[in-house]
Amino acid sequence: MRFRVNRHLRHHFRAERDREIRDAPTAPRSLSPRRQPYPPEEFTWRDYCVFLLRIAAEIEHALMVQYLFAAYSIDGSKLPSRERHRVAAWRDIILGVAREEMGHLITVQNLLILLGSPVSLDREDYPWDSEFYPFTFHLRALSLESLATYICAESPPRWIGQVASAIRKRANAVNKGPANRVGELYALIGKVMNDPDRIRDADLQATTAPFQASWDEWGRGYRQFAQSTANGSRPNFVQAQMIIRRCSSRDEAVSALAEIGEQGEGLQAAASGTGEPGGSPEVAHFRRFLEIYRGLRGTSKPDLVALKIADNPRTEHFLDIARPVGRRKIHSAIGNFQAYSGANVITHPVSSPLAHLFNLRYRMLLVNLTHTLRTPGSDDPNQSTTVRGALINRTFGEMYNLRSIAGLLVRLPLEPGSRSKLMAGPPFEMPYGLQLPDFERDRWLLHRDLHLASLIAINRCRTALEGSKGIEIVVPALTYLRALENADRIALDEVGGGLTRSEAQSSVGAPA
Amino acid sequence: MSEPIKARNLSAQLHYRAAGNPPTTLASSAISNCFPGLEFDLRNLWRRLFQGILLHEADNLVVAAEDPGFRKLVGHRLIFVEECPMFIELRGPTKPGGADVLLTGSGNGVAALEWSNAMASVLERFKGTKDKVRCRFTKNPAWNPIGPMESSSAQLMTVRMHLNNLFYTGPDGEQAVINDTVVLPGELTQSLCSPWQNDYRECACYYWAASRPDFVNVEQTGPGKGTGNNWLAKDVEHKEYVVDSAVNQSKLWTYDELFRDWQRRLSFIVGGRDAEE
Amino acid sequence: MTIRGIRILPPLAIGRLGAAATPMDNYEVVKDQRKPLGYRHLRPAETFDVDISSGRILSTFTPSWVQFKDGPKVRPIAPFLEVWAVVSRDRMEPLTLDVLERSGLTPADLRWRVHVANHKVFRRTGDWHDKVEAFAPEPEPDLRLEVLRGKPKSIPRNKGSDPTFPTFSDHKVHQLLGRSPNFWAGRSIRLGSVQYIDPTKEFPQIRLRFTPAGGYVYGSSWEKPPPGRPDDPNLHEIVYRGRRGGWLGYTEPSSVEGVAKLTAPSTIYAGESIDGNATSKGYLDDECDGIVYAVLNSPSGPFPPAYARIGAGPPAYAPDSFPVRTVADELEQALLGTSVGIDQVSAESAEEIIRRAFETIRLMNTELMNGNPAVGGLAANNMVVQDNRDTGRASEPIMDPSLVNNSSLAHLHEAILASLLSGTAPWFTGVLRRYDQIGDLSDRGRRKMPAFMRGADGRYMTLTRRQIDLIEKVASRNLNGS
Repeated sequence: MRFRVNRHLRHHFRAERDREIRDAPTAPRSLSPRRQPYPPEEFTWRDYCVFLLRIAAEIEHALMVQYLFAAYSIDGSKLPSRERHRVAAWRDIILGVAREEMGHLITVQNLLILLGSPVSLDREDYPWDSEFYPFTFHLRALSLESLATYICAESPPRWIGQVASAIRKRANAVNKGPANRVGELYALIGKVMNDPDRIRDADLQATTAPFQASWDEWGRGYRQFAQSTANGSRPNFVQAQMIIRRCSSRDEAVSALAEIGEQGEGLQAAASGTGEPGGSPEVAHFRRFLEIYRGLRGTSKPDLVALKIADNPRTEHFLDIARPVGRRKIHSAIGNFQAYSGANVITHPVSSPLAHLFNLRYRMLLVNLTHTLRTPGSDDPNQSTTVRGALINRTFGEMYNLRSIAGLLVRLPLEPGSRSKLMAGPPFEMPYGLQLPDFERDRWLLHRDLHLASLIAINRCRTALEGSKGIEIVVPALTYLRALENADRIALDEVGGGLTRSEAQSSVGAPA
Repeated sequence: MSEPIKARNLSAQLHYRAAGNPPTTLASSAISNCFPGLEFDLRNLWRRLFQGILLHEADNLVVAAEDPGFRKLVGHRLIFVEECPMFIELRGPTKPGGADVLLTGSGNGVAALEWSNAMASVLERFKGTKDKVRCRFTKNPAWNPIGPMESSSAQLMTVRMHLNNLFYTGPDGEQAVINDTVVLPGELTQSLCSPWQNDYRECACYYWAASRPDFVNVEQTGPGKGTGNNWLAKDVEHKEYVVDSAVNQSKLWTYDELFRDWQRRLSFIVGGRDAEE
Repeated sequence: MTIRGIRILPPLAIGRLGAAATPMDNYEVVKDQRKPLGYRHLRPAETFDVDISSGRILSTFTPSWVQFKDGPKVRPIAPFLEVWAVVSRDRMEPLTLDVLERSGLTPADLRWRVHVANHKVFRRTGDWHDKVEAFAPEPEPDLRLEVLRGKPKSIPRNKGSDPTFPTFSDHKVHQLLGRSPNFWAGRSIRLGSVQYIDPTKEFPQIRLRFTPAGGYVYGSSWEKPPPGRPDDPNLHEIVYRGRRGGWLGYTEPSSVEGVAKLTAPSTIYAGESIDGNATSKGYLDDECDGIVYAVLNSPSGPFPPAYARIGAGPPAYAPDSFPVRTVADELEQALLGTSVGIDQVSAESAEEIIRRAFETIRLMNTELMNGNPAVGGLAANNMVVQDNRDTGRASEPIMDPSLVNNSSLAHLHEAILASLLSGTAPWFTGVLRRYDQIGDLSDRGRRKMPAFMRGADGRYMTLTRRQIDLIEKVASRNLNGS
């Protein structure tokens, strides 16, 4: 984590934690002036709340990405057929958890918007070393070790016992230090937000509702506990329930925070012992990971559940891309950094351009999401469909693209030759910046640039594929690239329309 | 000349495209969410599912007995077949944002399931056997729709029925052609609109858009914004979708105009646009 | 190689109405390899040039372009039905001149009979005199009457030949004239025609061609109609005798039993409102469905007749697009069950379903179908209104109104399709509506897929269970690279 964030945390978190951690997270407290804690240096409470929410956003974003990576690594095709079904179900469960993290991420954005803060989708690539972070950020294929870290990250406060110890031990082995709990952060934010002495009513801007994301926009058809059908499809299939709350008041904000914490840890469930409100006991992320952990241990060959993907795959960057492959100079600063951080550089001539394409689409997802949250939706029923709706659909489209390209990358080699048997993987490298231009026209110019960059990237991928040998997935990869190219061209047409329209609207270019 | 086909490969036979036949001669070009349908009302396939009685194609009701021995079932409702209910409860909010409740707005809060999916597993199980199927009918006639029922309800009685073969079954086994004694000529189309052009206006039938288009000549004017024509619009120069409503009667082809000259007035849509003829 | 029996393929063939003199040419619909998400292409294909007078195929040709109309008239789609010979326990081959010869038979030994009907009026009135039946060739009046009366016993079973029903084996065009006891004397509705194609050395396949009718509307009158065109410009001809039958002026019954027996939807006949009742104008159309029988003589007696079903419907007006759920899907499920065999699980079949969903919504005004208030969606012909009217469910859009712009939804489907094309396993089986979830009219329930469309039960459409099983099986198989 960047020093600029860390420096505030070191000071305050310990103190807060020591003092507050034993309290029930949702009980409102009125604190006498003598007991009232102080905000850290350079902060007011409101601003501090924003600061904590930004960290929460970063954590949710990071968790989501790590879970996606883990899910994409799951294969199971080499397992006996009777086990494959179950393994496929794990993939869906972890994807469901990732989806729910996205719901958390979005709800946190809503809370930021409520407080009048800009949205925050930024996160550090690598490395991490803060006490706040649940575990060391690490993109890795699914394994008992990685699952152990996820379980610990989402575990309820008083989770003890033999199983707990064993799992913690396994988690600590890879985590280089005890794993923290994400719930603590939410508990703290909840406390702060619930206190009218710290966050005043006026700090919560209900009028920001049209900017906030709503479940109606993002929830799609997801529901909790979808029944399995008479067709005998997967039993015990737990479907994602996305928590996306628009918040206009303190109560709504506090309740949303509690819900998010609950979905991770299942605190209420643990306390009451009867399972989740709503029926099924298997809902909390913690429990779902635990279930998979048990299942994985019980598999005939746990090593064959996931593909052999390189940890922390990274794209290569050259100073001189025009030169033939063997003659390019590696960017030394990046090269050093990657060596330091234990990253695995994707150097295979087909995987490399695809990994860059992946990063580009990841950026496009983040840009579309940011643009969405900066574009007000309409409460006016007489307004016809909006740009915001199109942006939401574009965001979803990018999610599907990421899934597709990740699916290709995990089946392509990391390196040329037979040096390692490792496969590449989705790098999820952050773009150089996430700032959205102020003016609408410039935002569409950015979209246009990204689509154009994608067309170039697609061409590079295609050239590499067409010149390749021994790649099994050449045909579906080329088909997909053609389809994506198709889609980019159509999108460019429409973005062109958007540019013309926003030009017409803003003669002087007033911010949208 | 075509390659030989396995006599037991019913799927290949069903999808077989005879020489010279365009793709729209195939069953895979005809819609089957039939309410009532375009080419066929395939719900009529199921009317003689059970030997001796005639079911309503769109309701779990016995409308006639073809075997006098089953006359007592006429007007009764078929509620369960084996363990499968033939109805479903309707639940949803009565106010936006409200809780989901049993919707008894009109009718009794239930809908009859379409035969095709509801009976699929029973058909699979019993096909080719001589076994009788355990059916739970209402004890009394129930011409009016009735509400949800448990299978153990005292208002139901069990009658065991034989299934008819929906497909012609000869000495060599089942074939892919619908049995001629189970569906007679005229029955696959009898419950369609009369005349069929009646289905092209006001029938909420825009849900067969791939067969009977709705929104054509679409132009995107920007992200999230676009416009196009109503396929039935008289004036397609003006790029604005004309909603099929009372005020727009003059802007869309009327029933009479369709009866008179649908062939000239309706355009084939290729690539989402009016095809040049 | 001996003939053990015969079959007609395909077992169901669809004709499409049109009044142009020349039937529609053959064409292919192919996916665009360069633009996988684009519209399918229509390509002209090898077409038979049939000489009507002799019944022979003179030649084949491939037209320069695909043309659906001749001037103001639609070209009808006139399908061919082929006869196949069952030559061994499990093998069928085309029945050709050669195959016949080798069994000592000639084309004249293959005899046909066709029976089609239009029961649309009968379905409403319940009066068997309203059935419109057409035969080729025309049977004895007594037999026709038996068929009208609907006595199943008298309909010949498929054992042995049907000595009662006449057959033909000439190559003339046989008109299918739909007659009804309630028609004026001498009047009939032409429901199409059939012709036994005369096989030649160059085109030796045994086949029959069904040409549907011209898509005309027929009417009724109280008094005997004079010759010539009817006054009502909607009509091609008056056929129905108003006072004899109940169709002209028919209104739907209001008795409990009568109401229960109505079609769903009801009141879907041409009518006008008189005293608040939808009163039938006595119109009929020339659609039909029925059966083509083929009987092959053999030295040891005729083989059991083979048959196939035909029907005539309206044109498919978006010929490069296909529906999400089709008659083929229904019949496959009824034939083969709800579970797809391993050998039939292919990514292509799952893609095809999604592609069809995409093709459907592309042509749909999704904002209106969603019930968007801004376009009058809360008072339009869509499921939002139906839900409210039929069940009392709250009237509100199905999905968030901002999301349902037609192109924006199309792009979303494109991304899904692209993903499937990349070999990604379908991930969305959870949002597919199951057949027993049609009662779920909650927000979440209504947002499941397929969206916006009405199903056969009058509520939201579902795929067949077999279709869902296919997608689920593709989803749980890992297909990348395999």
